[in-house]
Amino acid sequence: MTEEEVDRPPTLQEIERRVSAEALRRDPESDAMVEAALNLFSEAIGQLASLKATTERDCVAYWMVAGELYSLVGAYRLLPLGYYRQAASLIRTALEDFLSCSYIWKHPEKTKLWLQPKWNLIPKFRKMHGDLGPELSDWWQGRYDMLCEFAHPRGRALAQIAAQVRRGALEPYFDGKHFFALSHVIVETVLCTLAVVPFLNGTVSQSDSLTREFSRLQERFQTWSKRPA
Amino acid sequence: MPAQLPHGSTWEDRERAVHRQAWQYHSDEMVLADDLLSHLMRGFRELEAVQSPNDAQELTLTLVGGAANFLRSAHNLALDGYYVQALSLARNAYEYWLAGTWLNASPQDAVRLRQESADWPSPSDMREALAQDAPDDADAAPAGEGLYDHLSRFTHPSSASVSGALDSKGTLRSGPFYQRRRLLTFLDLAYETATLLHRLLAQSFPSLQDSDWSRRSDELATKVAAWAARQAAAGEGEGEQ
Repeated sequence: MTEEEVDRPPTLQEIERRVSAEALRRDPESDAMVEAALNLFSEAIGQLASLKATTERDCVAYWMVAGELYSLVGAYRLLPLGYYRQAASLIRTALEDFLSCSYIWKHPEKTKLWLQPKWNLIPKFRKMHGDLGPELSDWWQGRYDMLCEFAHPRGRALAQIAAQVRRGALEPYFDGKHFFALSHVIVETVLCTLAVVPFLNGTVSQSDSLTREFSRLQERFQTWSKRPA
Repeated sequence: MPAQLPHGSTWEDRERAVHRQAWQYHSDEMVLADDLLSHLMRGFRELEAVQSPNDAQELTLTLVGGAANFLRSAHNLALDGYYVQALSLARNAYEYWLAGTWLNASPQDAVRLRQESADWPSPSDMREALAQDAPDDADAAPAGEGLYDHLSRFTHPSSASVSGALDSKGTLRSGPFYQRRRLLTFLDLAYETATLLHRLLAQSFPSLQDSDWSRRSDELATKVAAWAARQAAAGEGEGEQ
């Protein structure tokens, strides 16, 4: 490091690298769980690409799970860098994609609502998640509410940023609780999507290797979820 | 992420390739994006000298700081080809800016903003109210009507939000791909939001006005305006729909 580099404040990129190294050193297990979940999701969707979508509903549903995967990968990229609110916002979008996909699969006649240009004409999320059944519906709403708290400039999210501002640090930082909690929601969302969305569940069931990976991820998830915070 | 994609590459290979292309074709634009964000951070460092910001100033710092992190993370994702996700995060940054601008006009609302459950106007309502209160103020209604709604199409499930995952034939893409128009759309929104955040900071902290920081803000705003004019002349970007 040159004298000039020692004197100047670190760049954002340098801070992000430092945060990332700390996250991977302190919680490699959470990182590995998310990576395994996204790999499995990616492989399952990769197999869909070879299927021919025959109806408008099928096409839109496939697009949605692809959108869900991209949002989760985006969140996975941001988590180790310490951008928790930002990762939460993308996971929230992924949950919306999952919900919308499940809904149109059940109500194909509603598909057109997602193809028109005005996004705000799609049914309200609280109406759609009731269709998931009581247990899944509670899970979806609980996670969604938690992620909304992170994303909007209100109450708790503001209090967290204000605490950073008072410390004079605006840059990202490592927070073990947030890193674990958000990693946990990503893996849960993938497991849920693969178990609940019929065409993905079918793809997993028809492939021995995907079925094995799915069972293995479920087992690892049970153990990982129980670890002390 | 080591997963093999159908054409033998991995997600990380794709991200690296997109990153390279973004710098290869848009190096000046990437430097400008870096300058805008770094300048925001420099503004914060200058404000460290402010010992006791008042309540409204502290909230402004909080909101601008939150927005800066949304913009920075969006920029990271856009560079790697996650354009839809980047646009979605740019919307959050805009929402933070909007709340800060609202508080400048209505400081008595600071208490409500800090409460989780209190009623709070929707971003569209805030924008409309601000535009009505100050019809000649360009900051009150940035980029014409509907910017927030336009960005919302990338955040909530819609044909726009999933389009990045599809190629021109409607087939699922395997990993991120370089898309010139999407990147330019993102840069347009990111530049604009960063410029608005600079102004909000200067409006809230008199010590920043007439400073070197403020003069640099003006230089950057001029560069952004020149870039936007070139883009408009060339018919680049996706524009608002």
